[in-house]
Amino acid sequence: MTSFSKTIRYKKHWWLGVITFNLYFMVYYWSIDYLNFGVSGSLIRWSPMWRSLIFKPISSFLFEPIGVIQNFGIQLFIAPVNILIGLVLSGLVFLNITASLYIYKLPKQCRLDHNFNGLIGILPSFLTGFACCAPTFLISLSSVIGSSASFLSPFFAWLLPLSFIFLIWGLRKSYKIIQMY
Amino acid sequence: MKKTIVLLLIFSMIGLVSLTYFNNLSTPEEVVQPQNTTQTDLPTIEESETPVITKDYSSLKEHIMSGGPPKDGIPPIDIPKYLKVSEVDYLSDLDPVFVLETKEQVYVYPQKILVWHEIVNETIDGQNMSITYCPLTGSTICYLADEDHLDNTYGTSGSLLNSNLVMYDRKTDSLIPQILGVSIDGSLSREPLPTRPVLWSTWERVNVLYPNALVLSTDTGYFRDYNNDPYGSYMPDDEKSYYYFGGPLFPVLHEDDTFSAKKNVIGVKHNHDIIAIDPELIKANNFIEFEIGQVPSIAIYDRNLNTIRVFSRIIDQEVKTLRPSEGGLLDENDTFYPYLSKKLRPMNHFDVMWFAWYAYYPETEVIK
Repeated sequence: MTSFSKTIRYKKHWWLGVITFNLYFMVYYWSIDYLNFGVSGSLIRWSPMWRSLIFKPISSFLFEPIGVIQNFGIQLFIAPVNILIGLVLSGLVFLNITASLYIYKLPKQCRLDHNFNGLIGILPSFLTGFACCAPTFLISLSSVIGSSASFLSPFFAWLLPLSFIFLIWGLRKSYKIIQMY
Repeated sequence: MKKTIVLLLIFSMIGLVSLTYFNNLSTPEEVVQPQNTTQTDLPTIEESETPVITKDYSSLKEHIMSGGPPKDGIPPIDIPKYLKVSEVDYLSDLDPVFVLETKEQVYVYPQKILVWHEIVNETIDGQNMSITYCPLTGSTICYLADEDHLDNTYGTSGSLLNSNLVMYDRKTDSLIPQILGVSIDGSLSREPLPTRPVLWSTWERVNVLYPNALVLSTDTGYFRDYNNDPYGSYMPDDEKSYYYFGGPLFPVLHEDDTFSAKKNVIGVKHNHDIIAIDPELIKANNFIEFEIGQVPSIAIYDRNLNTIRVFSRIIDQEVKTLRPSEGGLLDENDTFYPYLSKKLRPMNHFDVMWFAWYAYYPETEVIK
């Protein structure tokens, strides 16, 4: 049985993973400002220039939306590349969550200190929104440290790759442990 | 299985990084060609008198820094669409708007749209012009195409100088800091770009004063949350707004505390002469007279728009004593000159945050 099959064997773990997958995707999409709440009006609009926009970067790992769907107070910008990034990240989080839960279920002596390794990568990807053209985070930070905050700007470009690396690293570690038992 | 997943993820990551990198390198595809390039007879600011700038601005290039987004990552609006005043439902009374007046038509550019695009490339009366707005420095300037490249348009370079938008021109790829208005890199001439006045006002005033105006539509070809300003808001009660509080977000070359950093001043330029005027002084006195580069000038408070206009007092080669009147200026003989009169020469002036003005022009004279 592969590590993956082992981790989704328990229905409870599977469902927790699915819920986290969805939540993570929504928070990621909200953090990059492509999911907004409290917006009035109903609207569906696509860009006639979608072919030239679909791979056009706005910032690091942030791509131009090609459409918008708006209803029931929710506004969703459609940026296919960012949807793909969000799905890959959420998928990794799903794998990490199910693996961590599986390890947590193991007898204590087998777990050692590896139980929630994979979750370290969850946070940085939420910060990718800060790298966008609307430097909300920099503005609040600049009130504390002044224009020095701008020197942090290039660092934000690395947050999403860091998320990937951490999530893969955590998953690799978790699966190694699972393989042993 | 595990190895396959890891490899797939690594390859997708490499793919994404390459995609981002190569897209950054690419030049913009959407360049609007003007309908025609016939010169308009409307006055531009001291256009024919603009001298070649001898001051060496090329050293400024080394102080340009990345603002985060790539070239045109903040996308200029190249195909602007307009609505009639009666059709506009996305503006509130106190929303700031920028007004561009021509003899035939008044154009209104809402700040809440420009904050996401920074440049609108437009052809008005057969002339290419770009309405530019930098939210970081609160400066709105309408630039006309360089006279050697009349079909030129401008884009956002993604870089900043003195925390201010650095534009690039799409013909020669030269870099032009917005407040400076002069190319500091590339083959574009080192002459200041001609400008037209753009006036700050609010929607409640503009929709009453100009019921036939054309208002920039939110159908920009791009998708942004136009109800959300990432920098805060211009509402006086927004205590956390970038527009009122704190210092510059990015490093600046020169600093001074004559005014608070975000204080709005009226920057006036003529050749190498530079003046900053406190708009409160003009509002309190209705107008002030001053001289810039030996040009007798007048700055007046336009009550209808709650804005400042600046003109040369030289009319028909004579220095006039001008006073503000409804919709224009009166001279000592009670001759009325509407704001758009061909005889009145607007001076190159615009609203700007004090820190940014001083950062470019530490030699500035201050009238307060």
